[in-house]
Amino acid sequence: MSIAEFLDGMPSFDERNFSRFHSDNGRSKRVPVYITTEDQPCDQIIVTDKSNLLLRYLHNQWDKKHGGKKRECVETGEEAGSSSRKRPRIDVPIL
Amino acid sequence: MTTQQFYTVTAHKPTAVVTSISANFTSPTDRNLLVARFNRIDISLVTEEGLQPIKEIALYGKIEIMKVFRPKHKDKDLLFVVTARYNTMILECVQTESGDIDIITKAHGNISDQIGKISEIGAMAVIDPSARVIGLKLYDGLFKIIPLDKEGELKAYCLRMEEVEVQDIDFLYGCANPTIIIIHQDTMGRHIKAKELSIKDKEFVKTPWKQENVETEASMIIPVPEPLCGAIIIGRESVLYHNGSSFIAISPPVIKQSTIVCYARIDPEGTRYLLGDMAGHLFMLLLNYEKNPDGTFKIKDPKVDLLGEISIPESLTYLDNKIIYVASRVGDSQLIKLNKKPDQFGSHITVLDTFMNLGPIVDMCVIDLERQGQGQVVTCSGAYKEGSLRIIRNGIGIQEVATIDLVGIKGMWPLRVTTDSLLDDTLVLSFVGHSRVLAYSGEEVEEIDLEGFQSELQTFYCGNTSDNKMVQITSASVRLICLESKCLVSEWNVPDGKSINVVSCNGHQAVCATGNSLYYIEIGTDKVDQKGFITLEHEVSCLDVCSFKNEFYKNSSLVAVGLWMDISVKILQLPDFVELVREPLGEEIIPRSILMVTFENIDYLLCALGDGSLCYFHLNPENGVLSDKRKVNLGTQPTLIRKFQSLATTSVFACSDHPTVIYSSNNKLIFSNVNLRKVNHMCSLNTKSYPDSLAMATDTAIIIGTIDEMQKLHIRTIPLGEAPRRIAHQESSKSFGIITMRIDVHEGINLVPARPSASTSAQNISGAINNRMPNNASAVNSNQGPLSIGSSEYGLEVEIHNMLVLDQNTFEVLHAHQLNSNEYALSIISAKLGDDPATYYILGTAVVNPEDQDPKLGRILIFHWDDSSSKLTPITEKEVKGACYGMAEFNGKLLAAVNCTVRLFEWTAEKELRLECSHFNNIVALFVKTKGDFIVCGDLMRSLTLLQYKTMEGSFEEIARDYNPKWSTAIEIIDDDVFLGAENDKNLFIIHKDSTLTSDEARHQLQEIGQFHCGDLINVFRHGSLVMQHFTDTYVSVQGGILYGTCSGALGLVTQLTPKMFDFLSDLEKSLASVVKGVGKINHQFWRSYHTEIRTEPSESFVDGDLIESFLDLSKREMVAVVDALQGAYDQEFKKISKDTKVSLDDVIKLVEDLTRIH
Repeated sequence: MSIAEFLDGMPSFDERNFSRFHSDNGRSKRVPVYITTEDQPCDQIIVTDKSNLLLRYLHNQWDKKHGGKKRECVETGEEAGSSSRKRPRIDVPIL
Repeated sequence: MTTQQFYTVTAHKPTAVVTSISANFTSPTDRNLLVARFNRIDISLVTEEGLQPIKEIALYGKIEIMKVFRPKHKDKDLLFVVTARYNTMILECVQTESGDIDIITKAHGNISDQIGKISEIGAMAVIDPSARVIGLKLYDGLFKIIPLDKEGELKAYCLRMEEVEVQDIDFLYGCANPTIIIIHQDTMGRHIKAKELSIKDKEFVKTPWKQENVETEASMIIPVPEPLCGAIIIGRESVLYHNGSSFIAISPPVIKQSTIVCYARIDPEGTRYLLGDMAGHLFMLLLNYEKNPDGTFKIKDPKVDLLGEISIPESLTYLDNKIIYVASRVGDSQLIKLNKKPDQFGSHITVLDTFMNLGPIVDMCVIDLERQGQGQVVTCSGAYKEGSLRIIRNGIGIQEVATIDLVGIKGMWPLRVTTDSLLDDTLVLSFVGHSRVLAYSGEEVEEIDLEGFQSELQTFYCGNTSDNKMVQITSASVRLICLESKCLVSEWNVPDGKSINVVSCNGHQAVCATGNSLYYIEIGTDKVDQKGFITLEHEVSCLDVCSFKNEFYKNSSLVAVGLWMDISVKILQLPDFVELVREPLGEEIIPRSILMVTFENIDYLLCALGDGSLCYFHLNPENGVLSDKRKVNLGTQPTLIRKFQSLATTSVFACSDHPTVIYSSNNKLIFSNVNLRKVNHMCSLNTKSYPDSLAMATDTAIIIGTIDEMQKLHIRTIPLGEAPRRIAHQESSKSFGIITMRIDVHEGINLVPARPSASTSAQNISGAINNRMPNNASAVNSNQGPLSIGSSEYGLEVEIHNMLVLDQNTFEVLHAHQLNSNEYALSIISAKLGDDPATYYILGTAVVNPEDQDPKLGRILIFHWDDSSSKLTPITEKEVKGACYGMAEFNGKLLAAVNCTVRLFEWTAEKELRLECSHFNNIVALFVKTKGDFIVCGDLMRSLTLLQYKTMEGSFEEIARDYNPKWSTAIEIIDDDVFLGAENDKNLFIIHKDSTLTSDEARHQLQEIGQFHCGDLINVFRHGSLVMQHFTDTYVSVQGGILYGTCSGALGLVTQLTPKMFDFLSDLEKSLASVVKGVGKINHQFWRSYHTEIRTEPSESFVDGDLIESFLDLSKREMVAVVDALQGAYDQEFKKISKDTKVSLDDVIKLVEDLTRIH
């Protein structure tokens, strides 16, 4: 009788919900469409961290080993090196 | 280069559900159901009466993922949405002061990466139960994290995930750090693994537990909330609970029939779940436990039981009080209730409501049975057991409230007998030789005897007049009856005992005709007097009297008369019947009903003819002059036109075999179908229980109902119980030919249909019905290795294809022709071939052998359906070397796309197909369309090719081709050198053959001249229109309207625009795109830009009709802002002008309203 046990324990958030249910199939009114012309301020922008996974891993390893002390100096060194050897990454904006 | 510019708009919004969830979204106390369909989120509220729709939110993107989460210390839920192009947003709903809601985009951004292989299983998103992070699985080998507990910028980052083939993923409950659990697959099998995430280190730091080699088809994770924690793993045959330290597995036999695809957690403790499978079974899963004294839990065996059958679910959402929303992508969605007591079939489910879904529209045809220029669309909709045909027709709906069975009604009028009331309480009915009076009290109806009322004769008119009196005009006299004293006050009898046969009366004036004599009777307060008489040259066929007020408020009364014999209309002026106008109709059919009516201050004369057509004129009431004659076919039988008032506007009802409502909007007459079969008479009725209603008499009954305000699409469903694949209409035999696929199950040596469906319940069945085993070979598959059926195949599902013949009106399945179990029907057309007078159903098939990469064999089968004897005769069959994906009739020959070739077959005198020529330059030729000597072929991946048939040589020549690869999904010819296509990346494109180019090489290249991102997969294009084109010749050129059907169940329209209209509408589109702020801050231009994996380019030569139509949803103030933001200056006709004047708001509103009426 697991079905009975299952159904008996189904929660009710508000007993009145669906108590006077009637189907309005076929005569449903047009649902209002949400449309706004207000330019809402947006708190947060979701961006993607473009840093290289491997570099991030190596940095983490380095930090762990050296207690994060030399981190800054490493970063500047890397930047100087990369600017001469590698073209900087160009992010083509998506349309 | 020619200018070819287009307008595309959704005629029927997508209905296939992507997902559904419940949440406290609109307020902390509201329980909401959120349903995502294509680009829309529908928000409803759970109330006492049921689901109450609150708002519909449209996004500029196809919704792929929709989830809710509750941030810490918040009392309501936020919505997280990801679109197909990886636009991501977090939305919050806030109540405004006016009681409305506002949707705030809390966060937004695009999370696509420029590298990475998109996961084949689809995008997945999971949210940590404590709302610390969102995890996304978009690309193989990477897991993207969006941290949530940050201020300002949300910087998403990727983690490397060494498990490449991930089946499912979710967050576990009760973990200090966010921990995911995954099902992943490698060569050894499927495994589950918990992985703990360090937000600080941006890494998976450890694997708290894992279980290798779970069931080989484990596919779904259900994380279990606290206190139990752990997860349930659902497989094809088993249910496993695992919490890291212990596990318990069961293998309930009930779930083995199909694959479980979705679940709903019912209680917050996580002991009750509902499971839904691909066959539409609903199961319960109960996870019971006991608490041990030491605080740990002892899990009992999970229990799984079948509750009953539902629509094939995409998601299940528990609403409240045992009521569940079943969201379906391949069938109608449902609202169901679970009952403790099973019904007689053992089901614990009651379906409370269903929500229509047309998707996926696999194929469709447009038919115009009435030849009105208005099409009905018949779609092949749904999949598996949810397969159905849907008949979609534009029109005005009548909601039937009551019916009374009565035969032979010749006329009907409402009447107020109770003198102090403003409501009707009585209905007068007229029959041949007698009349009856029905009185309404509440919803009860009874026949009464009204004193003074002549019930022994046929009534031609009855109605109230001033001073509590009524007029009744019978075949003998005009009678004035007092309703208070209930007696006849005055009567005018026809001289010489003649009999009245045509009458018109407006309450104060009556015009009666006997043969060619016409009498004018004035109805005074207590007397009826003859005030005029005339003898006409012919007998009167129809009459109408109407009084007009001129600008000096002086009444002038006109009589419109239709005459037998010379088929003309006369306008006479009362009282002396001065002939103002005589207008020959120039028709051969007698006018049967005539009416003068004023719509939006314009006077019209409408005249319905005996063949169901209607002529109408502008009428000048001063001098009776008729102008601007136009004609429309409404039905096929004599039509009666009556005026009625509904919602405070005047409309006209045309009673015929195709009832129509005529009204006016923006000074144009709109003719709208009514969803009733045949109406002989009608009148308006406004009683206490039936306010603002109509009474309509059919052959057998009176229907009382209310009329919809707007015309809209009406959809009729013909359930098939199996999946329809292709449809063809055959006019000559009044039938449809349909290809369907059903699932049969191996039971020993027999194949048994999994469930009864259209093909198993047809009146006649032919074909491979006794072919129990696929190797019981016909000539066709004899060279295929016979498929052996061992015991391992027991329970194996086999797809069985059928060709069905259905009656075009009743949709009864008249015949089912079954193919062999390894033969798939791919295409069907109805065509005449050669000089053969017969029309045939032609079926294209493929023999599918699992070992072959491409089918190596197929057949073209030709059948003749005789509708008089209901007999399907096989005429011939032709073996072809591959799958026959598409066919077309081509100048009396048969054109077929067979694997990589396009082949042309002649129809010989021996009624056989003979190959005439072939074209070989495709990967897989899927579609063929023809026009004149030209053929357009759509390829699986090589876009379109244009071929020409050289009659003299009897060969094909490749004229031109589109060299940009496109995986075409549907193609259509717009005109001789312009072609429309849709492709797998959900774009629409226009291809042009430019014959003006000088070099041969350039001419051989089809030019892309238009592109647009539809976002939805288009499966079929068909020429046609859902509205009567005759009346939409507004600003929009609707030449060559093309309808399309999509995977999400949308119907859309592509139509050509004049350069002038295109200029204006693109300007309006831009202006709207800048004024209207898209939810989730997605740019409209981004949404509609042509997008493939390789390139993204702005949309071109298309106007987005959905955005244009949203203009009408704006407030006046916002509309003004849009019109002000237009770049150009336009005159009233929307022509660009140099002057610095702006087009008026009213003109724009009218234009957009007109545009909403082209579909």
